[in-house]
Amino acid sequence: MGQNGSESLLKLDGVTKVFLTDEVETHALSGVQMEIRKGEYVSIAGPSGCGKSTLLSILGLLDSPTNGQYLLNNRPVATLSASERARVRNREIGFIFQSFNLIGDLTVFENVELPLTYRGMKSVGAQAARRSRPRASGHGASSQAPPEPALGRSAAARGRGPRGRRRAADPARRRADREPRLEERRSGHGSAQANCTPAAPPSAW
Amino acid sequence: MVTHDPRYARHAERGIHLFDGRIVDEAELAAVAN
Repeated sequence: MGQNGSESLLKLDGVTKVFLTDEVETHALSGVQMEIRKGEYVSIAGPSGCGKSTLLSILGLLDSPTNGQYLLNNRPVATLSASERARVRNREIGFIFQSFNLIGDLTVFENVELPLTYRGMKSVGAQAARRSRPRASGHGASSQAPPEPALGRSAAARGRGPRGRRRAADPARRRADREPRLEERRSGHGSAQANCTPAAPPSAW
Repeated sequence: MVTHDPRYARHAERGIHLFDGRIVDEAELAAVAN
């Protein structure tokens, strides 16, 4: 597990990824060795087609390597069951995507709330509704601001949704597809990376 | 952070450069002034 075993967050050892299509074998990753320790802020860069997205998918437990080993918190990921992988994605890994992946039918608030409901937390909207119901016949039952649709806003405003979503979920690890927000780069807090939980449905919940 | 843009990549503490499915460069990066 390496000399930095106690600090190691993720470690790839000889990781390869081969995609097979009808006639072509594409080697997306070839023998990748890397280690990221807790609290490090690491960028992975390279030209289009170099394997960044494949690597990100493997690190985020969205895909599995063809060969090689991936240790997450010193634990071989290959030994995790599908439901354990889902739990790790839900609780410990967050993404922010360049395209934000907001769900247009939901309000900003609901977009932030979504990953929390995946982990079994009661909907705050539902709780608030329950709390306010006894007073519904009186005054002030609807003091909430009118819902604001997540889409149809400026790019900067749209960006607040997924960042809020990630903050609400507070995953132990965060990974970003593409660039961080300026204010996050400036904030200087030393913990891992930028942002946001994927909106993918939790396969095991 | 995963990016194709070296200007963003420089903001990290450590940079890993991928090319053709392999890590071709890895470097500690100077801290960016806040």
